[in-house]
Amino acid sequence: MTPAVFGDFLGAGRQHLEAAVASRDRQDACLPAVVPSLHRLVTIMSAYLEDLAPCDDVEAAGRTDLHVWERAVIDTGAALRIAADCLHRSAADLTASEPVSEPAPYRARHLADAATELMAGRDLLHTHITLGPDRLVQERSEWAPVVTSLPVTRAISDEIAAWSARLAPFTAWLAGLATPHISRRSADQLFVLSPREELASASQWLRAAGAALRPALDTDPMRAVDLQLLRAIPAASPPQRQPLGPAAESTTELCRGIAVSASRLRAAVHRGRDRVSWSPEVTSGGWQWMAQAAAVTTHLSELALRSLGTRAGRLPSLPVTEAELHGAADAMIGMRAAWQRVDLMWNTIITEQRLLPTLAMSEAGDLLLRMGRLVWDNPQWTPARTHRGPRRSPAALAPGKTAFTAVLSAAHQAADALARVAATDIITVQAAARAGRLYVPTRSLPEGYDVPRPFAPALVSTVLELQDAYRSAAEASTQAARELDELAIAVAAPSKALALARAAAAAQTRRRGGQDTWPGNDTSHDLPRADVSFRDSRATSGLPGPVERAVRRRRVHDAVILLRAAAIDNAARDLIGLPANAGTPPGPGVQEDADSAPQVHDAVQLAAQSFPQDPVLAHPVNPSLPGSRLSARLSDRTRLRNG
Amino acid sequence: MNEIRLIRRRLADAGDLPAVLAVGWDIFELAGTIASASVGESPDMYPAFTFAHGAAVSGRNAIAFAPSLPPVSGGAGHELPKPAGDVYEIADDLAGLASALSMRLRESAGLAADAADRSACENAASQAERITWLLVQGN
Repeated sequence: MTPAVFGDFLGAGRQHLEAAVASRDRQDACLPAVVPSLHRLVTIMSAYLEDLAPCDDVEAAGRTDLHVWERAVIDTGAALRIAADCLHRSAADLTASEPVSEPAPYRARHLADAATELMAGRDLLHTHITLGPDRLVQERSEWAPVVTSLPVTRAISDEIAAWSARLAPFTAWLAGLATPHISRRSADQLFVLSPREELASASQWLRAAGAALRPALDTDPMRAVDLQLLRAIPAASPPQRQPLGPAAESTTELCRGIAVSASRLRAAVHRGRDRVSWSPEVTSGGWQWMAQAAAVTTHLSELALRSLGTRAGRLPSLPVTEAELHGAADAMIGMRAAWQRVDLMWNTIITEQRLLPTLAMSEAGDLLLRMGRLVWDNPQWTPARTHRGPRRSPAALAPGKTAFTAVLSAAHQAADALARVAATDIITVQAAARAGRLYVPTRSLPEGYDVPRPFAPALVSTVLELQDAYRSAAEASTQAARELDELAIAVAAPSKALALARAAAAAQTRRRGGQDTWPGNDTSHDLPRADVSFRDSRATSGLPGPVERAVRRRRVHDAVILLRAAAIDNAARDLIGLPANAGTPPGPGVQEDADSAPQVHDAVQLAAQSFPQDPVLAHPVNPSLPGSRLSARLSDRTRLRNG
Repeated sequence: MNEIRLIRRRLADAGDLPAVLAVGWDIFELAGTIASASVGESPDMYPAFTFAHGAAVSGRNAIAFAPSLPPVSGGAGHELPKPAGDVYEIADDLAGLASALSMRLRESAGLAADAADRSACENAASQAERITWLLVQGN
C-alpha cells in the first residue's frame, strides 16, 4: 500500500472546494448550514498560517528583522483570523434565526469535507514536528526540516492564499443572499444582528488574505517544485516492512522494496539518535556492522549505476548521459572508501556490549540484500560466497525507460538513507564518547600502556580519528546522494522528492519555539545572537532565550542541555533585572542582550551549576493560551516594561 | 598463504585453554587483516570479505573477555604484505582456518571450568563459524 502523502489530502480538499463554490444556485445556498461549514474551513486555513508564523502580528509590528515571507505569512494569517471571526458571528446569527435542515445540503457537505481534508493534511504535517509542553519544536522525523523549510512555507502560504481568493467571491455571493438584519429580544434587551454585514466583511478579509502574499511573491516567487515537494511529504509513520521471502522478486519488486527499506532505515536512525548515551543496544559491533553494510550497499549501487551507464547509450530519449551515470558511480567509490575507513576504525574500539541487533540494522540488511539481488542474478543472493550469482546484464537490469528510472531511484534511495545514517552516527558516536562508552582492547594498545584489564578507555586521539572518519563518510555520502539528486530530477524518478527535500531543508524558516535561523545567514557559530535579549527568556516569553537559541542552532537535541540553556537564560534575565528591582535602571545605551554577555558570565556558571533546582523553570509563562491570548501577551509585555 | 599455514600449525599445537585463546586472538587478527586487504580484489567477493572482516573483529573482542587469555604486550595489529594469489584460494584458506578455530574453541568451551572462559569461547566460535559461512566455497 502506498503511504499517505500531503498531496492526497490537498487534492481531495481542492475538489471539495471547487464543488462547493462552483454553482451559484440560490436553492442550494441554505445559509444556516453553509456558513458554519465555511467558518470551519477558514479556521483551518488560518491554523495553517498560525503554524508557519514566527511570531504574532502584534510582535511583528515592532520587528524589523522579518523576512518578506515571514511577514506575508503573518499578514495573511491575521486577515484569515478576522475573516473567521466574521464568519463565526454570522453563523451564530443565522443558526439562531433559522433551524439547520437535515441532511446538510451538498454545498455545506463539500465545504465541511474540504475542511476535514485540510485538517487531515495539517495533522500529517504535525506528525513530523510537534510543539512540546515547553512550547519548543520537537522534530519527530527526518522530514521535519522539510516541513519547516522556506519552499514548503511558500507552497502552503500560496495554497491557502489561493483558497482564500477562491472563497472571497463565494462568500460575497452568500452575503447577497443573507438577511440584512435580524432582531432578537433576550430578557429585557433587544439585539440587532447583521449576518449580511458579517459575511460581506468576511469576504473582504478573505480577499485581503489572498492578496497579502503578493509582496512576497514579487520578491521571492514560488517555484513549481515547492508545491511538488509539499504534495510529496509523507506521514511520519514509515511503511510496513517487506521481509524478503523465499520467492524470487522481480526487479520492479526489488526496486520498490529498496524504497521501503530505505524509508524505514531513515526513520529508524532518526528515532535512535537520542538514545545512544544510555541505550545499551547501541554498540560498537552495531556501528561497525552498519559501516560494513553501507560500504557493501554502496559498492552494489556503484555496479548498478555502471550498468545503467552502459544502458543509457542504448535507450532512446533519456535525459541523462552515460558520462553522468559513470560520474555518479565514481561518487559511490568515494563514499565506499569513506565507509571502509569507518569500518576499520571500529577494529580497535568497543563499547561495553559488542553487538546487539537494532531495528536500523534489520532495515539496512533488507536494503543490502535487495540491492544485491538487483545487481546479481540470483534470487537467493546473500553476502556469502556460496550465494553469489552472475552479474545481471545491463539489458536485463533496465530493459526500458521505466525500469531504468526505477533502478536509478533505488540507488538514489540507498545513497540518501546511508547519508542520513552517517549524519546521525556523527551525533551518536559523539554522545557515546561523551558518555565514556568507548573502549579499546588493552592488547591493541601500543607498548608502554600497562592496564591490568582486558579493555581500557579509548585514547582521545582514537576518538577524534573516529569522529573524523564519520564526518568524511557523511560528506562523501551526501555528495553521492547529491549527484543522484540531479539525475533523479532529470528522469523524474519516484525518488525525486528526496532531492527536493534535501535542497529545501537547507533553507529554514523561523517558527515559534523553533530554531532561529534563516537561509544564507549562517550565524550558527556566533554565541549568542546580539538581537535576542536576555529579557526574552523562557520564563517571561515562553520562547527560547539567546543561549538556548544558540544551542539549538547547533542542532543539539539533548533535553537536559536545552533545559540547562533555558536555565542560564532565565538566570541571566534575573541578574539583569536586579538593578531595575533595586531602583537603578541601566543608563542610556546600556543593553541587556547578548552584547553584554560577559557581564553575566559568573551568573551563567552559577545557574548552570544550580540546575535543575532553578525555580523559574517551574512555572513557565505560556504566551499562547487560547482565548485571551492577545490580551495575555499584552499584559505580559506591560508587566515586563513596568518591572 | 604462508601466514595461514604457520598459524594453523600453532593452533594444532596449542595444548591448553590459554594457548588456544592466544592463538585464537592471533587468528582473528590475521583473518581480519587478510579479509580487509582482499575486499577490492573481486566485485563478487567484496561483500563476503567485508563482513568476514567484521566477524573477525567480533571474534577477537569476544576472546578478550576470557579470563584465561594470557597477557601479550605490544600486539597492535598485524602488518602483512598485500595477500598474493588467487582471491578465491585466499577465501578457501581463511574459511578452513576459521573452521578449525571454531572447532578448537567449541572443544575448549566444553572443557573450561570458568563460565566467563566458556562464554568467551562460545562467542568467539560463533564468529569463526560466520567467517567460514561467508568465505567457504559452496556446492
